[in-house]
Amino acid sequence: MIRPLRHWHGQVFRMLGYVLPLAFAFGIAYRKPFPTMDKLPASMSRAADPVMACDWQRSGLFEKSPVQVWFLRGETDHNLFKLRLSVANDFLIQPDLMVYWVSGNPIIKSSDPLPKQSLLLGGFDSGDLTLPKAAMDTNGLLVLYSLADNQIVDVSKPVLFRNQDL
Amino acid sequence: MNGPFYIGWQDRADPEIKRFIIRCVLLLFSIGLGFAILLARMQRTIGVSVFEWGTEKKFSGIMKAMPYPHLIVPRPGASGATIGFSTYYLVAPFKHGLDPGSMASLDGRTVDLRGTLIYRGNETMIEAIPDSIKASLRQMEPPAGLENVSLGRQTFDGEILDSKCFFGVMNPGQSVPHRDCAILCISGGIPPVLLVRQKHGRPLYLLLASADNKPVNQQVLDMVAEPVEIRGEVERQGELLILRADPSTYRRLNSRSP
Repeated sequence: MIRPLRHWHGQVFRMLGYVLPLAFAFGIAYRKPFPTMDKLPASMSRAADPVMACDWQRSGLFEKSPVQVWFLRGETDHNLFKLRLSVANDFLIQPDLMVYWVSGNPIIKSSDPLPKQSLLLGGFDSGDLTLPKAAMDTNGLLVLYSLADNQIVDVSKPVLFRNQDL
Repeated sequence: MNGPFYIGWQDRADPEIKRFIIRCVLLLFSIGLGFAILLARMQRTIGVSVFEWGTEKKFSGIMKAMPYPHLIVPRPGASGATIGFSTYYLVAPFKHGLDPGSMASLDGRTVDLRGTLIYRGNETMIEAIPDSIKASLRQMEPPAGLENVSLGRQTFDGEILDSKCFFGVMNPGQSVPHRDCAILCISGGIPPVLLVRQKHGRPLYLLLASADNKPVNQQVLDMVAEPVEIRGEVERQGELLILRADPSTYRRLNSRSP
């Protein structure tokens, strides 16, 4: 009596041993992926943006945040200068983070209000930021400012972009 | 029929059975561990998003009621071609949106409000306390470029999600596991957003509105968290993208790879 029953149980569990992993693998393999787009419609694409070449790249420009900074120069328009900022995914999580340029070398603390002479370059996550001409010829600071919190998040070391001086 | 026989009430199992069981347990343990590591490595990392639960802050800006209430916050120091304002989506606590009709009287006016921040990347939302939204005594100058700019008729493949959960209240707040929650949130008035992932580049978020710029919450419910294709008029308001299309024209994508 007990041997046929054990034999039957053995067969059932062997079958489940094959079927369940196969069903699981099949389910994983045939999940609907997120739709992705190869390219955006022309009017929304950045493909029309001017081609930029990287003059220099620095990390460690900001004291608190590990922000990578690229200084870009227009390949055809040599008077066009842009800045690209990037940070590892889980650093610098701040609401509505803006990037400002402040000329000179003022001492700015995180508790200070945004200096009056600050020039907005754009949102931190908004792609390449166009640098004003003033930033080319004079020393200045980059300031990361959370607009939603009305708070300065980080201030760079003094930088003169064109001459690559820190 | 001459092999060992397992007897459950015996103190010690037959040595042959004991060796077999130990080998089986070790093998299954190794397979289980290897499989767990493999599955864990196959997973996508969840996005970085924040809900500042329990932290109320004060905000001021210009109220825009349609297609969904949102707050225009001027950016100090803006000049030239830089976008001079940020746009914060406004929602009510829990699974409720703010009613565009009740905000209509404040449309275009400077308002003060209290609320909790929700944010992901450069998308910002405020869970506003409805009673705190009041017309401000000081009027803000409307920033330049506040008018909607048409980007033409475009087609997008993406996923409809509820903006409140995805921007920070739930993580991950997307796809099929989150579908029921998303449907409840969107039916409660949370702005539906089309998430468009690019193969190379940042994701896009398009606020979904009807062709006549009205909320589409109730019409999109059966397509939430599904791959869909939407063709409609795209408008840009600062960095906010609005996709205006009749929800009856949304097309479900059934193929595995769009």
